[in-house]
Amino acid sequence: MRKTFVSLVIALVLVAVMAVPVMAAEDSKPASVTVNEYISFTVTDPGAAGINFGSLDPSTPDSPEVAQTTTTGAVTLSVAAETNVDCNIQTKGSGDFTAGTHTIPLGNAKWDKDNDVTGATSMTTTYTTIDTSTAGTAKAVHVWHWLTIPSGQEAGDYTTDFYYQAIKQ
Amino acid sequence: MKRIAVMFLATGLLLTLPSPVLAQEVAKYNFASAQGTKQIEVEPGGEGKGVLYFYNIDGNRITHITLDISGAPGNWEAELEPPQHEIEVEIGGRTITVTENLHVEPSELLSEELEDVPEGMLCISIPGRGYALAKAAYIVIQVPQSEEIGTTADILVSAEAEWLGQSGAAAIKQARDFEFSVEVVSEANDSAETIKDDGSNPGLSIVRWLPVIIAGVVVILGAVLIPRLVARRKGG
Repeated sequence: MRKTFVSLVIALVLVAVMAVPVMAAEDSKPASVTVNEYISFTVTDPGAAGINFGSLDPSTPDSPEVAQTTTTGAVTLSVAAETNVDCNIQTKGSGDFTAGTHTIPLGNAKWDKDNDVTGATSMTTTYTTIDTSTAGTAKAVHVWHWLTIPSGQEAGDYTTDFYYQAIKQ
Repeated sequence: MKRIAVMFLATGLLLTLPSPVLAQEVAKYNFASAQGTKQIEVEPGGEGKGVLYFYNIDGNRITHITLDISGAPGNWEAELEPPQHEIEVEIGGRTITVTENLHVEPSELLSEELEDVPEGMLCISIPGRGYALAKAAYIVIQVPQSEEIGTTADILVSAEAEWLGQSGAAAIKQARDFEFSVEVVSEANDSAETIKDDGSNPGLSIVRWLPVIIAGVVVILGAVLIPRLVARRKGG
């Protein structure tokens, strides 16, 4: 009887040991993480603050922004290295240049990535991509601007806004 | 003695003059943001919050930020903290009024996390570079009690950054959109699952344990029968 009891106990222990892998295989937990999104974009503006074309006469074609040079654009657009998404670097204008009731079409302003107005793109009120940047890599782009004053344009101080953005692709 | 006095006078005069170097410093307009989770969970009748951080370590001009929120269903409340408000700013000898939600002054990149952070600011990590002082903007969503669990909406926060003191034909601005996804969840956010009837074979779990059961039966029978067989053989 005693031998039978001891044998039974040993048998139950063996069964319990064999059952452990089956029980362990059922245990699982979900895991998740959120990676924060960083975007840092700087517009460097040499010369007088803002985009300046100076004082121009009517019928002046493609006058350059006053601070840009052969090597430095009217603005330098920089995406910082901590930006961890691929970006499109873009620009647009808010609307026509206005001075009271008088306007100069926004499309008379142009941009390009080099100091050559030939092939430059007219500004629009919708964003246009100038360049792209890669996540985790700093990127700098020079942008040159020109403005054409129409024939017979009324005198005045004309203004608008130029937007620049780095937007996640 | 006279020479020393003249030197002191000249030095004093030079110090009172505005620094031509500072006045000609190239303007750097920095708009930098950090967004954590884009998911906002809110219970019916309750409120949920999202957060955006803004910092300015690469600029040398104060960044004024205006935020606008859109996309929330008509019966939801969607607000921004801090709300849009007017501040008076002195620039170029003039006082002007600016409408903004918040502004971020230029600050230094920090090599380690600040323990003593100025009021109204936070110290956030800038990956690969260090730390920076930042300001937070909160998106607060309130949903009615009657809203159904599982309802979702995509919220858009549109940010515009501007800088004062610009002249000329075009002022420089930046814009950026931030997306949030809002979900209405149950009160306890109870993730426990109750299966009503998935139609699966109830015997499936038994099949999985079958080898163990068979082995257990064999071992137990052996433990009981083998000693008896041995005893019987010995007895006769």
